[in-house]
This record gives sequence, C-alpha cells and structure tokens, in this order.
Amino acid sequence: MPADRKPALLQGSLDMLILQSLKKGARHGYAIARSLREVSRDFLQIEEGSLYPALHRMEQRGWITSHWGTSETNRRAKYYELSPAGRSQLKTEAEAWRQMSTAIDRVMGFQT
Amino acid sequence: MAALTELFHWGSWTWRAAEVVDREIDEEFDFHIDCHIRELIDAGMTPEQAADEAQRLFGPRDRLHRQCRAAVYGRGVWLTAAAGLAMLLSLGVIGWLASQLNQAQRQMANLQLLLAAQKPDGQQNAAADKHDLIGEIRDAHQKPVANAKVLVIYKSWPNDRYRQQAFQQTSDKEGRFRFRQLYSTSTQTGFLVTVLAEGHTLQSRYVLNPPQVSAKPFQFQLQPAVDKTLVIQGPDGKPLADVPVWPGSRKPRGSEDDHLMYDHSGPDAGYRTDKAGRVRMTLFQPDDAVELRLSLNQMTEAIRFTVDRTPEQVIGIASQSGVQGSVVDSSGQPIAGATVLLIHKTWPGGRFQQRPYKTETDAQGRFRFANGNVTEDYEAMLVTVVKDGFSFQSSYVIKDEGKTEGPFDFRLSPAVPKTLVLRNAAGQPLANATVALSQRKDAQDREHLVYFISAPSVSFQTDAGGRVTLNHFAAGDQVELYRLNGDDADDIRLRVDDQPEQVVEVQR
Repeated sequence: MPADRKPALLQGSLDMLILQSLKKGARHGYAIARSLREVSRDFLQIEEGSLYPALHRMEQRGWITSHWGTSETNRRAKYYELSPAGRSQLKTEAEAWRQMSTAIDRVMGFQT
Repeated sequence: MAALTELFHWGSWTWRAAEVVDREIDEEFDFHIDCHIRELIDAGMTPEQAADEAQRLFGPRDRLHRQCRAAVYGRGVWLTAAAGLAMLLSLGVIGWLASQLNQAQRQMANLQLLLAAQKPDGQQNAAADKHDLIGEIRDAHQKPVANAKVLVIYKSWPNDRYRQQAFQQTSDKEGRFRFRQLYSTSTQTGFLVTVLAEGHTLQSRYVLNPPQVSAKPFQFQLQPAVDKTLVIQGPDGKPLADVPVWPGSRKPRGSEDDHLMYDHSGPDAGYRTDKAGRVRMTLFQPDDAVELRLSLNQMTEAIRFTVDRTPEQVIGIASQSGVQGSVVDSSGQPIAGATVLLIHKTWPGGRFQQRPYKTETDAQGRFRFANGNVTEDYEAMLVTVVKDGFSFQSSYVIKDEGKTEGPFDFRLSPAVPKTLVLRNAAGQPLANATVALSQRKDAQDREHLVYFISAPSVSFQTDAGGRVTLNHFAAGDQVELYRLNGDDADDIRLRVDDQPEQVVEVQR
C-alpha cells in the first residue's frame, strides 16, 4: 500500500477509540467524530455514521450511558458518557492494544 | 380468542414502541449531519455542497439505522411485532410466537425509559409520579452521622431544556435524610447527592434516570478526615478575607471516583474565610486531589491542590486568565455598556455542568470574565453580546486538547426597531408577559443564541396591549424568543419583516 494512503481503521479498535474520546467528559456523537478526526490529525478516516451502531452496542453492554441534553446550538442532542464499567473496559482494551502493537513492532523489526 | 386479542394489542404496542426508538435514531442522525453541514459551510462550501458532502461522509443511512436498531433490540422484538399480525392469519405460528413474546417482555424494561423521555405533540410527559429521595449516613464504625449537610442537585429536562435545581437538608440523629417527592421516574432526571460533615470526608453520588423503586435508601459511609485549615491567597499573595468557599471536588489518591459539589450548592456549604484568609475545612484525607471554589467579585474562581499532612496549608489563585474580548460597531467604534453573557460548560468528573455569567463592556468596549485557573481539559463557552440598537451576536468555542479561548471580538451591525404585538390563540393581547431573546439566524444563516438559563438577563415586558419594542434584530432575521412562564417558557418564532409593527401569535 502506498505510504500516502490512509489505512482503514483496524477492526475492533473503534470501541476503544470511542471510550477514550469519552474519557474527558460527556459528548454527543458528532463531537466524538470530530474529536477522533482532530486528535488523529485526520489520519483516522472513519465512516462517521458507523459511530452510532457502536455507541448503541456499547450502551447495551453497559460501557456507556446516554441522556438527551442541549447542544451548543441549543438543540436537543444525545450525550454519551463513560460508565465505571466502561472505564474498566477502556483500561483493558488499551492494555491489549499496547501489547499487540509492541508484539507487531518486534516482528517487523521496529524495535529490539 | 382473548389470547389472540391480547397478542394483537401486544404486537401493536411493541410496534409503536419500536417507532419511538426509530424516531430517536433518526433525530440523532439528523443532528450529526446538520452539525457537519454547518461546519462545512463555515469552511467555505455552499449549502448544497455541504449537504452532499456531509451525507457522503456519514455513510448509507438505511444500513446504519438497521445496525443501530439491531444493537438496541436484537431481532426478537421485530419478529414478535410481525408475528402478532401473522397470528391472526395462521394458528400454526402460535407456539413459535409464544417464545418470541418472552424475549420481547424482557425488552419492555428498556422501552419504558425511552418512552418516558418521548414528547408526543411536542409536549413533555407530565411527571405524574414523584418519589422521595431517602438516605443514611454512617461513619467508618457504622455509627450514624447526625447534622451532616446533604446537598442535592436535581437535573431535569422539561420541554427539552436543561434545568438544574438545588435542595438541602440536614441528617437527623439517626443519620437519615429524606427529600419528599423530589424526582419522577416517568421523565428523564438525574441527581447529584453530596454529603458534607465536618470531621468526615466529602462524598457524593450521581444517579441518572433513577430506578423505579425509590424505597431503597442511599447509603453513605464517610471516612475520617484530617483536621485542616486552609489559608487562601489571591494572585498578589495577599490573604482573601471574608470570601465564600466550598469544595468543588475531591478525588482520593489512587481512585477514579470524583466526589463533587456543584457551584449551585456552593453557598449552602456555609464556609467563609476569616480576616486572615483562613478557613477550617475538615473534609479531606492526605493526598486527596481537591478543587476549592471561591466566590470572588461575583465570579467563581478555583484553586487546585493536593492535601498535605500539615494542619495548616497555604493555597492561592494563580495569575488570572479569562474569557475576554471587545465589542465595536460596524465602523469600529467601541460600544460601551453592552451586556455580555457567558455560558461556561464543563464536565467535572464526567458530569455536565453549565454556569451562567454576565458582565458589561467598559468605556473602551472591552469585557473580561475572570475564570481564574478553572481549566478543565475539555470545556466549552458561549459568549453572547446584547446591546439595544444592535443585532445581538454570539460565538461558541470548544476548548479541547490545548486550544485556548478567545479573545472574543464582536462587530455588531445596526438593528431595526420592531414592535411586536403578542396575542394568544384566541386573538387576545398577552399583557404583562415577559419576553426574552433566544435565537437569531442572520442573512448568512449564522445562528446567534441566548440559552434559557441566561434569558432573564435579556428579558422585556409587554404592555397592556401585548406590545413590546425590541431593537436587537435586522430585517430578514429568523428570530426565536422565549415567553417566560415561571421556570418554563413558550417559544415564539417569527421572521422579522420591514414593518415597524408585527403581530405574533403565541402558541402554548
């Protein structure tokens, strides 16, 4: 793959990124999408709508909770926030990611 | 036959409940796409280009909607709804339908919360049921803690507007407290309960959408706190005397739990510095990360510190930063005496909190809100400028990941005086009604806002003929106003025409 083509998001990592994005406070879906875009400096190209099935799925699992609130434009918006179970899940997933990326780096020879 | 009828009603009801979820998913999608369209227009696209691009980046809506629905329900409820109708045509599916019905019943508990937030015909469901909030406070030895201050922040969303109310009580000799008929379970609500008892650690508990059963009391077990006197200094190093203070948050070392007190409850805490800037506050343990809040010059300041092991600890406000800016007219001349409203949004401990502030521009058209070193990693600010004779303007900034706020510089355009004649649906004038600014969409499609919480600061009264003259809009603006009604409001929508007087019917 040419170096200038941005890779698709690795399967299973979207949940972790969403949980991380919520770590600093409640956000609505659009704010989450924008945060992921901005913090990754546009490297992560995510189909924005795919956030919502992930959010609903994580809510069913109890990792996040939701409530309807008022947005910055005074419109009704659905906000999501991390639950204690979600914080714990984020730690687990982040650690798993770290271990996997370290192992891959070693195989590729990026570190000794 | 009765069973078939029951099943038909069940299937119909389940289908209607699924419609609620569908509608909410659609509302969420619409909000997202609208936000993105707005951003793309600001970046220079035409509205048509922005709409196309936002839809493209969002993805195929139907597929995403099905995926959301599947995530909420699984497939069982939809099969049950379809089977309810199929049952009428064929007795052969009864046995299969019975098993599907069992699964749908388990989903009922989830549906009830969603239905409670639903607004049929734009009106909030009435909170017909009210429950007491009860609790018990004990110390580390399980002994009751009497005379503890119990501060409750009650959050609700009547007519989709966030509302926050503060209540307080003192625990009795058994360590118990009760707030009678405080909350409803049929509408969306949340509350923060904070317990303050000198000699014991500050604790709080946050509940969103409290469960149906209100009989179970809140249990607080407080740990012993260290004896502590805080000496509070200003940025110049001098003690801050006679200043109300309260603990905004306490995070024990090694814990992810934040114990909070909202500013709304702050003055009820009853702490105040003496002449030497001292205040005794025995609410913490060593190594707790604390944010102390102060009410200073009608503003709220904050000091973050870690509790040490000394009986007296000096803490101070760092050099001040703040939200600041300027207001000028279209020729660049400063506008003095303009009302400047600030909504400061933060999420301490992950809980949404918004605080309103108000100030005025000085003779040079400058303004400043001193928010001290209250910096969260993520916060948002809405600044609105209102001055008679000028079209009001607002600016919204999200401070995230190191971005700074402001300065907020405004250039106001002239307004056209407009007399509104407010009438009710029967055509009668609304005399002595209170009307406040809410929203203005200008010719460039930009929205300028005043949040409901700030509305009383920019409100006006109609006369006996239902007339009120406002000088805050330009011709062609699409305007929304609040007609304030106690803690609630009706929305008034109009397009400002070029006539000096305009009749407006206020719907309830």
